[in-house]
Amino acid sequence: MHILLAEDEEQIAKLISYKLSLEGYSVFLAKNGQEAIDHFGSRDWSLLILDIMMPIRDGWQVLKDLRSSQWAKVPVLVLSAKGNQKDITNASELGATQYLRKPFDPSELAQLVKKMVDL
Amino acid sequence: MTDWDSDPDLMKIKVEFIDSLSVRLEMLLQFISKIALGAFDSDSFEGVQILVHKLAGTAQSFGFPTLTLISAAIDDAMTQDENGPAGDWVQWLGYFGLLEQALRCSIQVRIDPLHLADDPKMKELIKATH
Repeated sequence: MHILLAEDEEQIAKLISYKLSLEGYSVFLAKNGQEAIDHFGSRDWSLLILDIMMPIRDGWQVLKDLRSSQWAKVPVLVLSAKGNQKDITNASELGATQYLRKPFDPSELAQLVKKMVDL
Repeated sequence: MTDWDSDPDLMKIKVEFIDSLSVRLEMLLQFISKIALGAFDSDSFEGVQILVHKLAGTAQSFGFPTLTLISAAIDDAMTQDENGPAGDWVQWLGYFGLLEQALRCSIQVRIDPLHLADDPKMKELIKATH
């Protein structure tokens, strides 16, 4: 299963990729929002893991673009250090499937991804 | 819970994170210099907020909860401060100084600077944001 990870923090991206690779997932990294958008159609993605605060195009813009594209049904796990209600509501309204507040425990993230992808 | 010690590859990523703290410290010191020079403008304010926001969202995942606590509190204080860079620069120097101390300690000792959670400046910061 292929997972698209949009995350500009290098070490967090490595951590997520490593933990998910141990679970058997193939993770492709997009280092900013635009790279994520550019890769919507490059594979049959099982999940998009999306950071919000990213350069060039932020996670909100990526989510809007995805939901209005032909790949709109791809589930999205939003990761954000902003855990206020406004952001959680915003994520939900824009079509995020799940919202996980940063910082997270890497093992918990892996469990959540398993639940989402294995649905 | 993540067991860093039992997985060398995972530990390697954690070491990379700790090493990256030196770069973040350098950036913070540049912002502190700007405040001291009276050159702390809105771009600097935004830059340092991105720095603390990213650190807040990252450090705990690598076993540095106090670094996250301090960064998140500064992030909240910056979000709530309507004056931005025109605000109380003595206050910002104090907060950034605490983060500088936390970063230096994390880099040198390579474990979470837990003792700083009880620092008077930390208590002031928490009080200011609640």
